[in-house]
Amino acid sequence: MVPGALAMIVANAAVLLASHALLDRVRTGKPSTDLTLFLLLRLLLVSAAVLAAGMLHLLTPLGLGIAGAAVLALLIARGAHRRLPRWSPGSWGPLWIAFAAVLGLRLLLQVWFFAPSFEDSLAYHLPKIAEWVRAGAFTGEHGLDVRATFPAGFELVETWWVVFLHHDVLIEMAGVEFLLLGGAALHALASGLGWSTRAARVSTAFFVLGPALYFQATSCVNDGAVAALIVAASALIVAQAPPLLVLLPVAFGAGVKPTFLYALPGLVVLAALIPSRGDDPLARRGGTLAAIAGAALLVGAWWYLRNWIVFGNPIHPMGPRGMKSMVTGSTIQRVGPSLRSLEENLNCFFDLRIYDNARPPDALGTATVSWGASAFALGSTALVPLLRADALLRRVALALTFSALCVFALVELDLWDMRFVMFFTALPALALGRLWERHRFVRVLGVVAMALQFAGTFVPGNLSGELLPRMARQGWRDRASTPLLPDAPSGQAAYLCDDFGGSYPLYGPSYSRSVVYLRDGNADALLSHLDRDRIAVIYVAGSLKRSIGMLEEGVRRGRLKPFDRDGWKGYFVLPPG
Amino acid sequence: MGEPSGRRIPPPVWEVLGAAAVIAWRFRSHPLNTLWRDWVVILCLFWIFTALAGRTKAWPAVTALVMTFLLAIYAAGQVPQTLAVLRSF
Repeated sequence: MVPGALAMIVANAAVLLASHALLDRVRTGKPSTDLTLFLLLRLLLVSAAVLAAGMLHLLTPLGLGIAGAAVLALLIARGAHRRLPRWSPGSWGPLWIAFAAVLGLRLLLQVWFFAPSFEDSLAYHLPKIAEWVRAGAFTGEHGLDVRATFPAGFELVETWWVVFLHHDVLIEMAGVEFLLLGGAALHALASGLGWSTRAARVSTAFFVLGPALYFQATSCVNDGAVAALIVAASALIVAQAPPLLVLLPVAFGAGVKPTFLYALPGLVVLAALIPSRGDDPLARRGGTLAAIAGAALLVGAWWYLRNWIVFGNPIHPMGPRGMKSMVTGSTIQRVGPSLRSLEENLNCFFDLRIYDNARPPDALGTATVSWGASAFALGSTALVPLLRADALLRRVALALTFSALCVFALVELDLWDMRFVMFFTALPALALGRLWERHRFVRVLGVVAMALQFAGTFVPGNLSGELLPRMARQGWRDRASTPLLPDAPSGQAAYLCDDFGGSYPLYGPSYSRSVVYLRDGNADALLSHLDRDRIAVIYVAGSLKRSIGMLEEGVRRGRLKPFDRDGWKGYFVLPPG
Repeated sequence: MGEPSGRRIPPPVWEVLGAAAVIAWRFRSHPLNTLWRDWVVILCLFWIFTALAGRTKAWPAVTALVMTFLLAIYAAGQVPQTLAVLRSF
């Protein structure tokens, strides 16, 4: 663990220094825009490093640690460390420093005590990371979930935070990085609109404390990353950055999740309304800008190219008619826009979800939008006079509204789809920050809303009840939302599901166990597979509509013994005869 | 030669018409007894007020009232959810 921690420190120092060296070549001169660029460059370098290490079979603490040390030595030899900025707390003031410190400390505690628990993460985001970390390389095994081949740009950053320690205790730091990006980008957007530093800070505070966005940071899901990248792209457009620089968050976002592309038309509208400056001195740095944009395109397009090469379809497993549940046949995700989807999503948004009264907030915004009191009550009201008065804000609002409408037209209504328009909370946050400065009553009500949101972002609804106390009682080495059965046979574990189900906990938080995925079509093939791989226990999930026959046949033949306890269902494998 | 200013409809009138159309849609599609706390209706009424009286001394007071009212509506529905989570520990 100690060598891994040292490698993590060295590699992170190398990436930070390299990001700053790159920033020096594309600096805009606007502090918050440059901070946004710095965070984007760091995420790009981290992703590129994991991609390269995965391809070269160097995805290990040693491989990345040595590479990091070499880069660090090279940068220090070239004097890159001498150009690092000196941070001065003077301009912040004690209140903002205290607020940032409390928020940062609470985030770190949440990273430490929360373990991945959302079904989507356990089913298809994280099993591939476990396979990569165990193999020290990219592997062909992604698990059984049909969604496992979706773009995995966010998972690259998560991999960065688990590969060094060979443990997932810090996996949520990936989300925290994107929350930081979202905050910096909103600050940059506010500055680009001409807001004062104070208004920009207030806007940022309300934006990052939006319950859905905040919980996204600590829940191993990627919609918060998409929201942060959309706001980052908007901020760069408003700052009139060169188009090649705007391509950085856009290409990166496409590789995080296709829903970023659903929102892209709004960004195109914004770019049309606010064209970049032709006389920008940065434009003369064409080589550096092209290299950054090219790297971002490669990182973003990677998953689509891989799917095209491996499956003959860049958006595999989506077909021309979208993606359907293998068990129920219902449409999970559609392809192309639909007026029916738009109408259903808008009605649901305005009539039900905006009130956030159906469920406690969580990262997926289950049955809510989880935008928080500030967006619902204060920011939306503040938008009315500001949109009437501020032409630049109107352009941003028009673009983000168009993005939201595009997303609503492109996704099926379900309990969780409001998370795809989380970026829209940038607008009420911006408006609230602006009015905060002008009226004392806004500050008073804002403090009340802030207190409500702070209290509401301690524990997400999906960790309520016994789950979080149970995780907190576990030692950090063993912390998991669904620990394995204490009396499970010690042999090889296998996993089987027909549709959706979480196999990630089977690896253990330290990725110490391997998992065999069963894809056998009949009982004879299944039983010979069990004997061949010496499998001791099969864990199952979901309805098993297709596989239940062969499992029951295994039980009839006396080879399988079913169990259902402690959150797990499955079959113990009995010896032949 | 510009159009005589008397024949142009001032922008606030368009705003009032737009907001009134949205309110009419909500009245048409939702039960009347729920509209007093409808987010869309409240914001549209505030929009109309802002378009007509945005520069009056009453505007800050009305804005504070609207924000407080919306905050109360939100808190009444959402705070019990948060308390339920916090109480579960």
